[in-house]
Amino acid sequence: MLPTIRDTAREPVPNGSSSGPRERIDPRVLVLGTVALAIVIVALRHPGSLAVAAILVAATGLTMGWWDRRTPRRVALLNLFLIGLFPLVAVEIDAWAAWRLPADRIRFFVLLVVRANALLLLAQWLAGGLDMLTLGVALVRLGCPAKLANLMVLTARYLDGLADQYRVAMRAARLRGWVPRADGRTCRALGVLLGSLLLNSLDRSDRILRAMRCRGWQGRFYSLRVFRLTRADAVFTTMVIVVAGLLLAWEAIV
Amino acid sequence: MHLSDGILSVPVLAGGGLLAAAGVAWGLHRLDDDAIPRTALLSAVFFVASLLHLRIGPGSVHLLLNGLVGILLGWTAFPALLIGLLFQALLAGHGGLTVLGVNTVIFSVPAVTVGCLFRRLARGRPAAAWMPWGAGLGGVLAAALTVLLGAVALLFSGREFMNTARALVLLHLPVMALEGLVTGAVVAYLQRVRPSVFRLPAP
Repeated sequence: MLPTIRDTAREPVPNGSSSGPRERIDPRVLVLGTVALAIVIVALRHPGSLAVAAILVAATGLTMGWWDRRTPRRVALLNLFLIGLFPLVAVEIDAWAAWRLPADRIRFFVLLVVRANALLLLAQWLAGGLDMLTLGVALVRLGCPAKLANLMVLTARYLDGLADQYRVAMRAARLRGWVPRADGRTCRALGVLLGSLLLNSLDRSDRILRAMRCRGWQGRFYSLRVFRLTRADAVFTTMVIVVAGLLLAWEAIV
Repeated sequence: MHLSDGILSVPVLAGGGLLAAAGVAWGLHRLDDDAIPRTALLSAVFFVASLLHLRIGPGSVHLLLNGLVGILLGWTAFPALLIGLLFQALLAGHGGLTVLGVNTVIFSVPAVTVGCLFRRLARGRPAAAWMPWGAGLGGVLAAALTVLLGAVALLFSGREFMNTARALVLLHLPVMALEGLVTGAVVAYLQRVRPSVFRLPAP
């Protein structure tokens, strides 16, 4: 029997338990809007249209509260990585070991930087706008294979516990003076650490399966969430369509 | 090793997406309902392992462990790694959304290759002394294939990435060795503590 996520309640819970700005948009609309804009941004070839897209994506994320404290750090790390990429992508070295900076390479690199930033900020719409469980439920409502959605929901459900277990083990090891380095001792220690994490996980997965069967699980998950489209969704969808249309029109004209 | 958003060309992204969709569909076809909790937890372990950074000189690297996932999951590594990579993109900022398909292919194809080879050798021989060494070689092979596929994806995206592809391969040589050592050490531990883990079904 194919597992599915289905609702048990008729009464709608408005896209989440609270009603802050991030909960106003239906998760299904947010996923579709993000994917549509990602496709448009990947297709853009003009630095100006890409820069406008990046600014609009950033402004929307900030306004809707989809940025979190990790976002500026991620943007900084991405741009540090891109700075490291500059000599590899933009610099041309000829057979006599002389280097030069051709204009087409510079333009290519600028496009790459703006597009990478725009897409990172767009990913924040999902990372900051939805928790992973809600994303799983939204994906199954959008027609994602039920097994894949179940896999995602269960992974999200057990990720925190596993990460905590891992942090506790690492903290204990560090208190004993262990520093992870690229040497044989570290690899053996990691073998024990990851091996015990795996064994705990396998035992836990057996317990979870037995517990779920005891509660009558037949490959189905039950979600109390009922998503309902609101005026905010209509505004958001219109905005995404207008912005995508204008950006593509700009590309066609310039 | 994750390829970032905004770097690859549209044909490479589309091709990677289609290949990933085919692999994930086949992996889901092979995934039993009862195996979903186990696969989900291994997906979570794959995510957690990427949080660990090892110091090499002035920089640091993080482990891939796709060889180990392939050994333990076989074909179902495709959906497990897709979910792990999605979470890494959204929660840890590694990779990205538009490159999810390509990253799934470059992580999962080596994982499944190593998993199939290992399972053929391991079937019916749970206590074999070769297992940690075989897993270690599998870890090196999986990391090497991952890096090579990443370099190929870059080269197909434009000649501007020739130097980047070369640097990618060179910089990941120590990661390949570390992957082999850690994968071998994990398998040696599992074989010592719980050999039944390696009573593996056909790939």
